[in-house]
Amino acid sequence: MGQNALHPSGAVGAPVRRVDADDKVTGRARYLDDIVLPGMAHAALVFPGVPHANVRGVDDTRARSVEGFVATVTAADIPGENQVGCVDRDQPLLAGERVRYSGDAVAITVAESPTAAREAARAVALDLEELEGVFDAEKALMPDAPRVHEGDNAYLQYRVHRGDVDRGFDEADVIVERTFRTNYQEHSYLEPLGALAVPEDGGTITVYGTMQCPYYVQKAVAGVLGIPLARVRIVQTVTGGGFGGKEDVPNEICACAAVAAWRTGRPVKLVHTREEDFYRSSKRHPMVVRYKLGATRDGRFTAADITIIADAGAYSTLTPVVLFRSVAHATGPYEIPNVRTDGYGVYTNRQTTGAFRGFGQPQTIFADESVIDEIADTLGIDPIEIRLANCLAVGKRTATGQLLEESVGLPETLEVARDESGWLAKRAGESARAGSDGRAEPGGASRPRERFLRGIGVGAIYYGVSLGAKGLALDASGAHLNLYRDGSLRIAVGGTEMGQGLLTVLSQMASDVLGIPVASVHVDHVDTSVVPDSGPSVASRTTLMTGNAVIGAATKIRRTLAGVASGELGGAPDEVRFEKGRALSNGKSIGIEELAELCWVRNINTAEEGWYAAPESTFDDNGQGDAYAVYSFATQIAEVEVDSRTGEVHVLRMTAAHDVGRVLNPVTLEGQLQGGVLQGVGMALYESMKTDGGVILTPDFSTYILPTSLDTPEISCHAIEAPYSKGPFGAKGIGETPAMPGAVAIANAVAHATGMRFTELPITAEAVRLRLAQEETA
Amino acid sequence: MLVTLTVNGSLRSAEVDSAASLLTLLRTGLGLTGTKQGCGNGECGACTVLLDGEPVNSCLVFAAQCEGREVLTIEGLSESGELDSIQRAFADAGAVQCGFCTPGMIMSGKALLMRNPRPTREEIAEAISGNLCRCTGYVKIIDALEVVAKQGPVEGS
Repeated sequence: MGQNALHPSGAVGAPVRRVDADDKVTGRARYLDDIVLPGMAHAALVFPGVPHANVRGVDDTRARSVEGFVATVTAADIPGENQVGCVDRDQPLLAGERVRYSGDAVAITVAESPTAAREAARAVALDLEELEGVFDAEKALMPDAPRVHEGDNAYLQYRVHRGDVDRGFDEADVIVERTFRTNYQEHSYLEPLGALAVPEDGGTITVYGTMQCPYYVQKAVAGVLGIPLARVRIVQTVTGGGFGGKEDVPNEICACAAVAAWRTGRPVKLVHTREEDFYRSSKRHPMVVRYKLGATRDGRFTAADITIIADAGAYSTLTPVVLFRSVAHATGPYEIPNVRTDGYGVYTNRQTTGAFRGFGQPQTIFADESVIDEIADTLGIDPIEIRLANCLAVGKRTATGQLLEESVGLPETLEVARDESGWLAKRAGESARAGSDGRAEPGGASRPRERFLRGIGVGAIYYGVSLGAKGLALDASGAHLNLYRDGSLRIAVGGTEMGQGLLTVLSQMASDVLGIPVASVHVDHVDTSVVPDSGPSVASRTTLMTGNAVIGAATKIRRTLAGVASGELGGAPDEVRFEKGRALSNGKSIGIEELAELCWVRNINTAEEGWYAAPESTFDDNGQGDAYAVYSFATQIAEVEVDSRTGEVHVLRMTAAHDVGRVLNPVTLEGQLQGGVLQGVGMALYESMKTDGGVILTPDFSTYILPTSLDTPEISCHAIEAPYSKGPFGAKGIGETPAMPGAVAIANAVAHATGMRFTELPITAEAVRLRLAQEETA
Repeated sequence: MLVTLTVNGSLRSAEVDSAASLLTLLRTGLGLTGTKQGCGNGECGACTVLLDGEPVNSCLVFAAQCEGREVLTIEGLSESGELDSIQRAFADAGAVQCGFCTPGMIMSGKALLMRNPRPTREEIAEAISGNLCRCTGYVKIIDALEVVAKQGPVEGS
């Protein structure tokens, strides 16, 4: 990977091998479904089969005769509150009175095997009074639309209003207005949702599960059981991918397992099939984005007027926080003096929508970055030049009026991506001839059509790291570090590893602070009984928040060791250095394990707590304020080849330049970038969960098309380091940004190749072929 | 019904339902949970094992069909406690993230290298195209298998 990383002597910044790699390559890593407990029963959910209905009765007579049947659990059996709404309290765990979407669970069956539990679930007879449903967010806004809940379907609004938008458009020489549409994208983590709930002594319960946010789960389980948080322990198992999809939905799975375990007094496991997972899990919001942007003749943006309609599905879940992020970032990473952004969250009788890598931004990015390219084309300005002329930099203000004071590597990401991709030559394709292989050079649109058309396009983004002003959750994180008498260190944290490499970078950080080898550090997956509520592992916040908590605790331990070391070696405690397993002072040194042993002998504590709280953020009624403490920035450039005969778009190469603050581990960073880039390719070209009423038409990986190894382009990754003064070793979040700019960069490259601008994603071969045919006919 | 087969070199028997898959036999019957279930429909490849040396989606093979046959799973690659060359390459190259696709991916890679010790990057991509990975973008997985190919033949080729 190309980068300007300053590698320190220690572990941070080095390509340290993943600490969990051996467990994962040998099959030893224990995921949820790998755990088997004595006396364990299995649960399955009773689905309604319709998307909108009143529930008049649940009859499990036939289910009881299924061999291995143990119990049926209905809403009436929930000992606490029948409620798992993550932000708004609008979501019953079991739909005892009303079904609002086809993924609602009406009841739970428990049996001796998963097969028997599902057979029993199918045998439960539901008496349902079907209601008319609404399956389109724009239709749901109509006054006569069926209501999903008591109030209006448009239940949520956020806005960012700044300056004088009408005057800004008066100042514009060119205005472009378009409406963009995106559909559901499914997370498609490889490990399906699952939970194992175990009733234990003293009226406590332990729930194991695959999840991103154990403290959300703790609250949900305590709520449905009606017991205090202190009696609920959540243990995150090795988690097979999340991408946002395991943020809130595990609340429901774990709460179902917990209620079933509480009712039966047995350990109960609930693991979804892939199809159940499609029905039950949240998705990326389908959005309609109306986007109007004005610019002066010399390419300066004067005003943006943006309306966002987000399909929340049947329950609010995380839509309030997702929509906040969409609205706050809707202008893209540019300084625009006059902005009017209005975003609406709308209930429908469809699958719920929530967090997915990018968190409400990829949809608005598709809009803003497409419109900017159209403006650039109209004005005859290079797309990267127009972005550089308007982009955020230190000293500029975001759409929320936030003055950026540090760590803005956006201009450099644009320049590096431009130079590394060979943008200028490829973009100037108009003057190029068809290649010797008979294939067209870039910019093929302006010449008689060849079969294969090449194009190059760009997308640039920013992402507020951590929860921000309307994150509506705890924005602090804890860590508990225990240095043992042999100099080894065990770390418990509240942030989750879901594949991104958290355990490894935390090990690296602790290793550097204490001067011990990475191999001497062990980091556990989250156990809520060990570390205080640390908020969710979302919003690219975990490395930053948990990292700072680990550094804080490790620094306390180092201070203790420094005191002992200076006593042994001489010299001032604050001048003791820690490296390569030894403490150095006064020209002498002592091993860390000897220091740890001395502490043990002298009754000195070497276990410490770390706690890091995010800086304050603000967002007033007009959407003005310091919305997030810091932002990550990125530019991606896509090169595509369009087969004009079949309509297929083939991504040849992606160049990704990301401002990450500081590179902590170049290998895990590059892995994050490559994986995110391919998710962007999926969003651009293939992925679309289609529904018809309450039925999902694409509930499996044969019909919901994911990119495979054959769809992977060449991916060129570049890290830009604009350090964040409050970040761990200067780092910012990197979780989300890799998946954000790619889709629109591909759409812009397709426009460059074909001259056709698409306003809906994905740009399938059918869509391209249809447009080409229309053009040929015209 | 009782099924007897050779798994990772040992003769094993398990009592399974007549409709049970090889995947269920391995995971539930024999406690070999290294092989994963990602979809149950043969679409994701997470359950890939070698049946008589050929890669199969174990969720699509009936356990009963495996009577007397030979199965190699992820657990069979490192029985001595040491990682085999493919496992080591995956760990070293950063080819592992969430890890759920990893066992199946390694078994598909193993099958490829057994029949074609010197594959090109394109042949590697083709061989693992039935194994979905949502984390890595596949690049480092292909890198890892390329490293192994350059080291010389793998066991069983």
